[in-house]
Amino acid sequence: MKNSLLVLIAILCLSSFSGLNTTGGNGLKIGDNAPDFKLLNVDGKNVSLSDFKDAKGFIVIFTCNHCPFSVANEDRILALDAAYKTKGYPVIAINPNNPISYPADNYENMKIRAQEKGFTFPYLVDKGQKLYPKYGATKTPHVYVLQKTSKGLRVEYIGAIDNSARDASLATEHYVADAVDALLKGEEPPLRETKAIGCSIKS
Amino acid sequence: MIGMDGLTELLQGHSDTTYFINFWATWCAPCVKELPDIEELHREYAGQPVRFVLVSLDFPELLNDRVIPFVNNRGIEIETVLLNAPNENIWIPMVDSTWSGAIPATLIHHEDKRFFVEGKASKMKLNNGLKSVLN
Repeated sequence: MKNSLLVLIAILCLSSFSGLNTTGGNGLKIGDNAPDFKLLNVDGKNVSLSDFKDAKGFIVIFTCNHCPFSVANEDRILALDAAYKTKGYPVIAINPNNPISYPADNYENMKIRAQEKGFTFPYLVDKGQKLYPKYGATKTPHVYVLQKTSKGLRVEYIGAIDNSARDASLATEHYVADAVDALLKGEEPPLRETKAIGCSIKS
Repeated sequence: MIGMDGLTELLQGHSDTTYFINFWATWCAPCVKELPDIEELHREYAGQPVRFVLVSLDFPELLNDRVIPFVNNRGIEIETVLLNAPNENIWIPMVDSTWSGAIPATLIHHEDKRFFVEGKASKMKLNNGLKSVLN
C-alpha cells in the first residue's frame, strides 16, 4: 500500500514537471548539459563555445532581426553583454529563423543589423536550423544561461530577459541578470524558468 | 486596451459562453495568415454562444497608428483588444501552462473544458477544438 502510494506520488510529480516544461518535449531542461556548436558569425568566422577558454559560462540568446520583440530587447542584450562579458558570462546570440522564408533574417541582413546596433557579441547563424530544436527554443528572444562545469555546460536558467518584453522601462524583475549574479556568487539562480511573449521561430 | 483585469475576465469567462481567444500581432506573419480562418469560423458560429476575441500583443504605443487602422482596413468584425500588461511570467501561465509565450496562440474555453494550441493552426484544427469545447 505504502509503495503503491509512493509510486503514485512519483508519477504525479513527473507529470506535473512535464506540464511545467516551457521548451516543448525535447529541449534542454535545467541541469542538462547543453551541446556546443560551430556556427558562422557575422564577421565571417566560425564560433564555438569551446573557443571561450576563460568564460565561466554563457548567456545564449536565440534572437533575430525581424521580430519586434527581439528588436525591443536589443539594447537589453547589449547591456547584458556589457555587464557580464568581463565577469565571465559573455552573450552569444543565435538567429534560428529560416532565411528563405524570412529574408529579413538572412546572413546579409544579420551583418547589417549587427553593425547598425554595434553588437558587441557574436551573432551566429543556426545554419540548417539544427541547433534550436536541440536547445528546445520556441521563440525569439529565448535565453539559456549556461555554467561551465567539469562535466559540461550545465543549463542554469531558461526563459525571458525580464518581465516586460515590450517595454523595458516597465520591467520590475531582471531574470537573466539575477541568474548570472547568483551564479557569480556561487548560488543557484532565484528563478530557473520564466516565460515572455515572443515570435515563434520560423521554420 | 485591456490590462490584467481584462485578461482575467476573458480567462474566467462566463457559464453561458464559450470563449475563442486568439493572441496575435499585426506584424506577426503566421498570425495574420491565420486570421481569415478565424474570421470564417466567427461567421460560421454566428448565433451560437461563442465569443471570439482577438488579443493583440502589439506595442501599446502603436494602438492608434497601427492596430486600429489594421483592424479597420481589413474590416475585421471580431472583437479586438490590445493587452497592455507587463509581468508576462505571471499571465502567460494563466492562459495555459504549456504556452511558451510565442504567438500566434489560441485558447478556447468554456467552464472546465479547454483547448489550447501554440503556433499557427489550421481551420480544421481550430474548428475541432471549438467543437470539442462546445459539446
